[in-house]
Amino acid sequence: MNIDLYDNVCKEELFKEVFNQHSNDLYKFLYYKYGEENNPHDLVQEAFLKLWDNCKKVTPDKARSFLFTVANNQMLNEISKQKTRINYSKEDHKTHSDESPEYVYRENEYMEQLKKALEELSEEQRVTFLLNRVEGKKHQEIADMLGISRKAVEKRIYTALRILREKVEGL
Amino acid sequence: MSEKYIEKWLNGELSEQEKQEFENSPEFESLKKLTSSIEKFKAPELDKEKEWERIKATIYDNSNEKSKKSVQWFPTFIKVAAAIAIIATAYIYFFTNNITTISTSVAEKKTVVLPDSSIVILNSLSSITYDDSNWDNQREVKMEGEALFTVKKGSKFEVKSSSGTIKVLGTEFNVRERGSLFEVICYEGLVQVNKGNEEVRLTSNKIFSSLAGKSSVKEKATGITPHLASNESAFYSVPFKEVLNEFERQYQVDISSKNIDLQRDFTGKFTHTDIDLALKSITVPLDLSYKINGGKVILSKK
Repeated sequence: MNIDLYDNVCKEELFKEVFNQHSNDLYKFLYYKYGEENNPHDLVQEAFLKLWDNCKKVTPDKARSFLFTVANNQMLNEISKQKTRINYSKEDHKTHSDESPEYVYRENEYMEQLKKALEELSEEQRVTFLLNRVEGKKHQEIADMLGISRKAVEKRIYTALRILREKVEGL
Repeated sequence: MSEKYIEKWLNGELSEQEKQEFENSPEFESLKKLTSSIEKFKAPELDKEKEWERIKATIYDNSNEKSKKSVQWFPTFIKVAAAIAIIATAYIYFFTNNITTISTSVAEKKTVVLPDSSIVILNSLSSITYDDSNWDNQREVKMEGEALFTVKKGSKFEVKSSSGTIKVLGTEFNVRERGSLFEVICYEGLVQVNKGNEEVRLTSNKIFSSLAGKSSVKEKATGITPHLASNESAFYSVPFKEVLNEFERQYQVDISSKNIDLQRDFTGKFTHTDIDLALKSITVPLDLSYKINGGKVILSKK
């Protein structure tokens, strides 16, 4: 289905196609930006419902930037905003049964520190850094999501890394 | 390890040799640990199927509640209703029993277009009042000060001032009511002036003037255009005092006129745009000289 042939996204199959193409990226974006305490699932729903409400005005090729613009502005004034929490997957203990308790302890300490440092980054720094380092998104792709320049994305990634290193390694 | 290297490494811009150098540096270990640990923070994948069902349910719900059509046009209907409400309110507010007053301050002139597109040029320190809503039935303007009227042909048009009433059908005339001076100049058509029990009909180029209760009708030289329209004040046998008063209103100045006969008749005009030229116009014919000193003008005999 070549969705670019349509001039708006009001048709249900078309809207579903748009959802399938962009929902995961949007979810990741919201998750890294606001953390999982702020219900990124619901924010995704909200953004797509907004797209549906405005479906007549949005062409398929504009849908992605519409969604990310909405996502960028979501929770701007939200009073109920929760503290950002980012979680990491705890490794299965069985596979590491041969590690010394000291090693396990140090490892946990490190991860906790890193978690705290990530949570303390600004929303923009965190979402930029994690999309790049964890999701492997290209700089240009992130720049498009955030509506900023590629240079700015590179600068944010670098700044975020510097802050993390300072906090985690005490550099 | 230079900061530049880290930046290049992040952007994947290191050359083979630089890369080797970088990977052998002591900090690389910790950097590698950091970046690989970061990967554990990967967000869980979105359950697209489940989320799509949720969205569908919400959309379906919304369109079921209001019926699909009303979703589309209800907001439009609200907009139209609001627009009508605003227009209706504005209409009631502005057009029913609505009295309009327009006034000017010192050294200010205004051109007013009345509802029937008759035009009034309002001189400084003057005002007109008229009823917008009743205009079609009664063309009536109350005025103070001085104004030039260019009246569209039609039903009776009345100008009321405290000194008298002017009735016309369609013409151009100037009304000046300053202090004890009441003057009507008819430029075109026919004007009827009522003052007390007096009733005077003025044809074009006639001037009705009343000074301290004494009325007279004069004829002005033909071909003189309405002075307000050309940014001038013109006088036809008017006491010099009134001329100076008008000058003060136009230029926002104080005129001192010791030892000068202020009751002398003056005929002539002065411009509103050039104070020097204007002063010459009023002093030279009477053989006077003037000095400007800040906001003061001193007149003296030559």
